[in-house]
Amino acid sequence: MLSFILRRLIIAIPTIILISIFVFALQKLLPGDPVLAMAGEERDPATIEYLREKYRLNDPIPIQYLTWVGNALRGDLGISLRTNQPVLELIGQKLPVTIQLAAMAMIFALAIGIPAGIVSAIRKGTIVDYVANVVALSGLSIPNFWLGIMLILLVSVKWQLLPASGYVPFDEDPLRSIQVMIMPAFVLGTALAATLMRHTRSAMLSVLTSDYVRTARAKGLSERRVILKHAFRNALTPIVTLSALLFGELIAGAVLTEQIFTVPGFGKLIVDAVFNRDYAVVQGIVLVTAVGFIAMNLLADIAYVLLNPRLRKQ
Amino acid sequence: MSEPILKAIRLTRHFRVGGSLFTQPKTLRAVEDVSLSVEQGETLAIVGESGCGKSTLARMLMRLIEPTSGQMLFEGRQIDQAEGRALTELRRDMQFIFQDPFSSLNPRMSVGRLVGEPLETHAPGLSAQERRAKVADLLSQVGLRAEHAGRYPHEFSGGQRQRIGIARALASGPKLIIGDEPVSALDVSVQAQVINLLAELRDRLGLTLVVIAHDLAVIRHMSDRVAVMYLGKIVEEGPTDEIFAHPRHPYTMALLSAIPEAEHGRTRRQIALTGEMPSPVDPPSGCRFRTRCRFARETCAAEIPALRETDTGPGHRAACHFFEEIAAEAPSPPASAGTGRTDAARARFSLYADAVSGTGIRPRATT
Repeated sequence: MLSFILRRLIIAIPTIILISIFVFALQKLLPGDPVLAMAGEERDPATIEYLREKYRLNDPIPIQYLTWVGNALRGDLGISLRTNQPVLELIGQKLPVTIQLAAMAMIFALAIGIPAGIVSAIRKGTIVDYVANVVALSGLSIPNFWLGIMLILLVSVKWQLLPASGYVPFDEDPLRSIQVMIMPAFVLGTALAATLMRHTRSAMLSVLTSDYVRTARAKGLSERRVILKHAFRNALTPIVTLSALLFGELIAGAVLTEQIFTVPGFGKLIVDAVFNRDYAVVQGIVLVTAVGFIAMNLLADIAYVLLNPRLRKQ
Repeated sequence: MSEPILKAIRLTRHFRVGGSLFTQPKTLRAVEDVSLSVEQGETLAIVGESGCGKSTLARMLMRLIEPTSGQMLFEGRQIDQAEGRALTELRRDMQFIFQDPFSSLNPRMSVGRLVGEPLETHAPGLSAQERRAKVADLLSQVGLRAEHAGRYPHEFSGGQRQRIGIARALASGPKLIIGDEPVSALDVSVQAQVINLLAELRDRLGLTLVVIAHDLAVIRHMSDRVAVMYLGKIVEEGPTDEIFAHPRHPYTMALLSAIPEAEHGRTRRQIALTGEMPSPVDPPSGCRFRTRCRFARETCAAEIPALRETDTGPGHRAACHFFEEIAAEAPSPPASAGTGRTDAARARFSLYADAVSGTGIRPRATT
């Protein structure tokens, strides 16, 4: 098991190097010069030269890359060109917000998607199945921003049940924090719930017709036990894969959702950084997200092995 | 004989097939009006070519699928409507061995849990330790070792997996075991071992067996009675020896004549059936076999033949309007076994014979 994890970690290294090159190259290829933006209206050549020197923009590009990677490895992702804060500090401030949002969205998605998928697989072809499928399809097709705006209109403006926007740190007031986050998390979670539901349904359908499920029924087990212990455990593999892949969608969705609900999170940081050509921040964010994505998939790989005895001995 | 342990009365199962927005679904008559009874302690074989409805029948008897109509009695209790606790009790008394030892074991569960799970349901009073001991005992009964309990199904061979399936079926302490082609997925050499094991367990534990099969050699040497199915109906039933010696239904005759004989210089008369089995969606009127029967006459298309007692003894019944005449016309049994076999054939058949006597070689674990 340990060697398996180590092997997966080693495989992840070239991926991360490739991502870092890509991230670095991307900003060099983008039009627009941050130094010009910083130098202001006058564009004083001396200032421009000073800034270029300060941010080492005169070095050859490979050297710039190596410097950047070296710093990144030491935890120094550079300084935001806009706020003059270290990028790592910025990310450290915003990341917990988005993690809370993503975690709550994922809880919504799992709590709705998996039971709905199981039930519609068991009741295949019945009205329950059709309703679940229609709802799931709607969940997939309704854009986040529209659902968010509608929810704000209804829940916050009309019924005044929940606040329309804002953020309260979890460690300050957990209850209030969750309350503020419910709507954005729900909006972010719906599309995921729909995807999860569809996949759970199809995985369950194929497992439910398998011979060993018939064996389990013949044993005289309760239907509940047949479904949860025999069928669902075997259907879990594709669901775990999907959940890890959905992490990417979650971050992308967070960008939009945080804009709508003005949640001061990672997504908002990305948007602001891109609009302001705050390259250091964009780079840092993309790198952190990519590493997070790789970590999620590593976790999924480990989960497979734990779930599947056939993979354990290899 | 006393009260039959299992009785089926006019069991019928139809499936709806096809059908879309614009076409009517059709009715597939998988099992039509089948009655049979199984006596305590006997081995009944249900035989027929693939698609004749024998697996559907077995699954109905096991209540894995619901009959469209008809009744089933287990030890005199009606079981076709059993639900909840009654069904759980039925699952304790009646167990199933599946055909495919590869797909019928949950790959995510260790052998110990697979075999122990019925105990959790049917003997909830056992402590974890007692359950482990019982699992070890069950595994040794089927020729596996106690330490196999910690392994997973994929680590075993086909024969061993079928033994696991048998141990699992025995766990709840059943009185009746239904085997749906229990050995047809196995190698011939392993088949004999598993058949030996089943027969030995039957004698030791006083089990009643219902075996679905298409291998007539297996059936002949294992069962007390045979029921021959064709297109969802039983066409002939009776004591195994009678059926093999004096088949009365033309279909049984053709079936028996198809047993391969590995004998040099022996003249054999194989009755070749022409054509395919008709579709159960649209079965022939009257006698279902008439489209392939060389004796078919007008009556056969008009009237459905009922099972009638034959001349050869009690309990031997055939569903043919004219079996008396046909028997007179083709008197000799098409497949007589036992004379002039090659050594290899004798060896194989003696394995089966050992299985019946229960004194055969001890089954050994396969590789």
